[in-house]
Amino acid sequence: MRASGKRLAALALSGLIAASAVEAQEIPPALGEAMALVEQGDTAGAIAALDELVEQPGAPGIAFAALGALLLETGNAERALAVLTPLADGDPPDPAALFNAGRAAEALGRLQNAASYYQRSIEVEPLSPALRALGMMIGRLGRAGDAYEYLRSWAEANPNDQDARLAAASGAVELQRPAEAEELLEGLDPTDPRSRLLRGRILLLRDDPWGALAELRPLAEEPPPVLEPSIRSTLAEAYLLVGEAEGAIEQLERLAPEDPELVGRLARAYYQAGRTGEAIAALGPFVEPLVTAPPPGDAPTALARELTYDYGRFLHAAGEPDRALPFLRLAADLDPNLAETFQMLGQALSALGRTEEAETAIRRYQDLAAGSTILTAPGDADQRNLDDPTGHAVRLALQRAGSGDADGALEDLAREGRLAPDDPRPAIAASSVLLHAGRREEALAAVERALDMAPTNADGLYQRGAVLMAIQEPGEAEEMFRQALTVSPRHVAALSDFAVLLMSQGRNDEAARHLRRVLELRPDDPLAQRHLDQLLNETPATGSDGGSEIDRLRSSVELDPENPGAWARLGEALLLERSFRAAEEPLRRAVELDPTNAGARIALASALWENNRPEESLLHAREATALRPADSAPHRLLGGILLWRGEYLEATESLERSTSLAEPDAEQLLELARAWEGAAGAEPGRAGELLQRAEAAYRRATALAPEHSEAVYGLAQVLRQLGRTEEAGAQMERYQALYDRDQRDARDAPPR
Amino acid sequence: MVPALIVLGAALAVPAQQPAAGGGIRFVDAGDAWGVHFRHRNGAGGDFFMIETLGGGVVAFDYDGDGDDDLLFVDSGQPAPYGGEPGTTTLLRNDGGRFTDVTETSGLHLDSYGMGAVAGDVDGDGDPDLYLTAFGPNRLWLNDGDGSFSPVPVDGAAADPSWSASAAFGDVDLDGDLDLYVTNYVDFDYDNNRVCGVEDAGRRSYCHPDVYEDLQDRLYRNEFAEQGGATFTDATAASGIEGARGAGLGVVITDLDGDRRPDIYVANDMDANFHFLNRTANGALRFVDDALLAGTALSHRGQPEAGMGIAVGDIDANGFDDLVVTHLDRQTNALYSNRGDGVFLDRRFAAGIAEPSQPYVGFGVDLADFDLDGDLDLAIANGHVLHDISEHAQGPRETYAQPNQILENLDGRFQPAPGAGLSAAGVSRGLATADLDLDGDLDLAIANCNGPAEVYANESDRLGGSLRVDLFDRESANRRGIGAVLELGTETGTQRREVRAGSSYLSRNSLTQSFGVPFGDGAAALEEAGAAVSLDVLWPGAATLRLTGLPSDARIRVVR
Repeated sequence: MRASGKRLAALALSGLIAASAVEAQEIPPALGEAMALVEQGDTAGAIAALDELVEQPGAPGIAFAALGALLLETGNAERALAVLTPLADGDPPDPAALFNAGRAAEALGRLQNAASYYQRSIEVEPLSPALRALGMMIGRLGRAGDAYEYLRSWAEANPNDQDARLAAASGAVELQRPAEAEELLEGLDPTDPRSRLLRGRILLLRDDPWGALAELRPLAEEPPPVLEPSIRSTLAEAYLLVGEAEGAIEQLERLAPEDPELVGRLARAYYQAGRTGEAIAALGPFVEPLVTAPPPGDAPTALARELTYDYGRFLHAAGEPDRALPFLRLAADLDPNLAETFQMLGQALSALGRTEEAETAIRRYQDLAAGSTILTAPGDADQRNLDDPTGHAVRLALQRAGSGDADGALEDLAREGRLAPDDPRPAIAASSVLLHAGRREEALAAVERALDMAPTNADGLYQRGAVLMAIQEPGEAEEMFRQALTVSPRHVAALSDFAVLLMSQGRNDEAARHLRRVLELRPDDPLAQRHLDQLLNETPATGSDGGSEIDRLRSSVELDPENPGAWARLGEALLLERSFRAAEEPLRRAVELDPTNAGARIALASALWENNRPEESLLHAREATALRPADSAPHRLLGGILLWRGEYLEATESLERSTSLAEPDAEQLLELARAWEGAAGAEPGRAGELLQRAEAAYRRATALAPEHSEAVYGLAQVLRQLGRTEEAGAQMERYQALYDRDQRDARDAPPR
Repeated sequence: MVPALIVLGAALAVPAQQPAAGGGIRFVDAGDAWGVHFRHRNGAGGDFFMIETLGGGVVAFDYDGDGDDDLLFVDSGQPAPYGGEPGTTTLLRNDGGRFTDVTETSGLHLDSYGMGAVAGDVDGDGDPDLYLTAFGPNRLWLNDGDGSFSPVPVDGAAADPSWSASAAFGDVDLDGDLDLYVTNYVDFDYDNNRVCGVEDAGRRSYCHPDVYEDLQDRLYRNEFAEQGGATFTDATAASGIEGARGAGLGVVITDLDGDRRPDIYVANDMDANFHFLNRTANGALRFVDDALLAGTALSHRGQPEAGMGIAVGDIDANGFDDLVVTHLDRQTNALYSNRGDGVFLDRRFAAGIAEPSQPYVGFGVDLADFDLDGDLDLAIANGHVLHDISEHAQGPRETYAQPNQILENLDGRFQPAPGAGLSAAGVSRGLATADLDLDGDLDLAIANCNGPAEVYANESDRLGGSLRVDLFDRESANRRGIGAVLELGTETGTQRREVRAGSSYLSRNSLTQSFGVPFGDGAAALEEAGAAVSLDVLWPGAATLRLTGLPSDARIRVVR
């Protein structure tokens, strides 16, 4: 053991090799001598000794590793790599040698080789210092996202490595993950300029430019030279956000920027300060040449597009649409999917009187805007992204997949999965991408990983259903859709795909019910509408004259106008089509002809309710309960009407009766809970008792549908009224998460 | 030849004052001095109904025809779940700068949850009627001419039952009477009240409008000219406006493209604005939304903004009216500068309007020449929509109550006038301008949400004479010449005004058009300046009247 300890000491002495899992080996005397020489500062002597040792047959791997490390230390990366390569490529590979080989390759500028060595080192030893080295190297290449993954893991395992924590925090800021950045900065020297700069940037992300100004202004008085550009440009950004463009200009002019990104920021500051001419002059030298020599197709074009667009809009604002036009066209060429460019292009064309072209550009804008988040509040969207970086990353990945880069999207999702290992969404999204790419087995495996993490996640259940449907397992798919809808009754995708599944099995009535629900939730859903239209057109109940079901039923009542059943069937069919006004008359007729027809009364009550005739609706609902006291449906209808009218106590009676007669669903229990809650408000003397009943009903609803946000919210409110603040707080937190998810789902629902 | 009768009014010849060194716009709180006491109530009770945060408006109008502008403040009241007690919308009669509450004798009241109002003579009897907007049915009140108002039965009274915000009158179908455009906001209801702003238990706030569906605005055509008696029919579908959906908050009816047909501009909250160009011909009412092509739909970055209030005026004196739209904090208020060929340029930064607005949520707004120097200054009523903004916003100026602002036009570029005297913070919404104390310059009336209204007397150093013009058209049911354009020629250039009924936010300004006639270099004699003043009146339709040799400091009445 002593020998092993010495070996590690020697390696540690070099400062280059981590305490990774190198096989314990006997240390030859020559190696011990070399180590002693290193300790004495005679590195050249140590190298000579090790050179001699490795020439001997059967020289141990540790000798090669040590020699490689020392050669690297003395700047001889080429030879170090040659010495280390056999060891790194050996079986089993030595993680320390791999790490040092990576460093040598990096020093030689062979970055791909370096990344490969580092990666392999990490594979053998997950906490190898290769994590740090790889993160730093990738970070220097500008790939903040990839770098962050490595640096965060390293920093978590090595909290005393302040540089790594700062680098990781920087990556988190780049990725707009302020909470994680704050965590990484926690406990670091608050006066460290790097730390202060990052805090300033975090404050900007947190939408607090005033805080950023307070943090960075003192730092900008005597900035460390290496940080000065970052400090001043961040400060300038803060000045722009608080509406003090002259402050931004002062900071940026002091940098005398030549970097196009900073020049772009300076130009925007000039523009914001009303100095449009200077904005144009600043950007001109960068943008004017692009018209004749646009950036090559494979070059990064985001900045070029942004500068070109800015230049065009500044010219347009200066009343020079003719000069603006070629730049706006170029901006549109550089990113043909950015709506705002086409909007500005349309305006410039319009200003030049080229109306037809302008209209074409505006149509393009409208198409793009309709399919993007351009019509949502940018500030809110930014905030949502900050609060939920994983959701943001998943959305970006899905956009990437949508633009045809499925592999890139899968890489992004895999990385996000590693960054948020307890969050099922990256895996669910990956499953979706894989399914669209036709990689069904992988899609199934991905969604099953997600469901292992969160077995009742509605999106996961739905996605598994979708995959199973694709691989022709309709029974299991149906089960998944049903589970998803139990958890989240308004899951539009589940409703919709379930309807398609049912249609494929000829279960058209059930399918139509689901499609109608989809259209209630999303009235503009074209696919659901098309499917429903298709179903209605396919309805087999066509008369001999080829007319529709409704026509056939109309003929029936004409032939037999005294038949209450015929009138009821016609009314019910119209009700099913949501033709509430048309349904009212035949149903009235049915009830007149047969006042004991409970079904017709229920249908009539529903139609009257929809037609805003609550009094009459109530009357028929009451009659229906009297006619069918053992049927759940009329009690539920009556309870719902009473609840809406604020007659809570009576509503509880009907709804309790309804839930006792048939297994209730979550919505029914929610109505019951609301009725009890309302009754508590109406009967202050019994509030405690009635609220407890409400609580019980809410709990039953949430047990049936754990992710039903309204039920969770109701439960939280009742608990708060019962004075159980902590429990209420917990439920409210749960609600908030579900609400956010619902909002997100609604917003991010992919075009279908 | 247009028959014209020019009556030089009685309230003439305000003594000319020499410009003070350095000039400067100043207002003085005149609530107590003038007896203006009104407190808006929103009835908030903890459920954060969205309606609570957006009222109310103020209207400056001469309801009793005595030559001075009276004030109507719209109250909201109590949301129905808390009892639904109606607000006390209040009419204050102006008698030479002293106000008296005449609500009771006027008979005016609003059973719905009030938002704003607009005044206009819809029945052609020479006195202004009132249209009150609300969450719930809007109501039209006809002026009986004796100090009282009578409600018009709901049928035919444009009683839109949804959540309405601003409204404006204008003769959009060119038949000589006043039609009505009503902005509708979102489909919030007590039953669908969403929980928003929860960060932890017990932390709720008002919702962003995007959690609700946008509502359809309404255009009502006045059938007075055809049938007599003001009866409004819904022309939303027939006019081509149906289908344009946005959360409408502000509206102005004005000629945007210079074809002498009243167009409609609507500020939408986080939706593209509407820029409805009037294409009515041969009696067929038709509008086309040209906002995207005109450049008035979105921000300078192509993003929709939270449009609230609208002001219209020829800021750069190029003969075409520009648009100012107020927005949320951080978005900045917009200036859409009219080039005159249908194209508007977003010059918010170049004109200095944007930056001063960055920390504030702007609502009511007007362009007016407060210092009588011959150009248009800007008054903005500010106030956040979130009652708890200061708890979760870090900016020192991000507060619920915010100061209102005056931006002074200095050679075409606006600069905040910090000594303007509007620094008291409030949650302001509606704003209207009128010469309330009859001293020749424009004063301010501001409605605050759930707080006392403010009125400010203009005590600015005068840099010119004040020419005020009232139009009366005896040939048309549109008696006050809504839609008429006035072009004042002075030695320093031409100033343009259009008579509009409804702009700002939930509000309406005085119909008396006010011009500043600059003294010129140093202390040029007033009469000398006056000798050069001429006025072209372009009546609705085509007729034009030219008046020359007008005094530069007077109030005149031009009658056709």
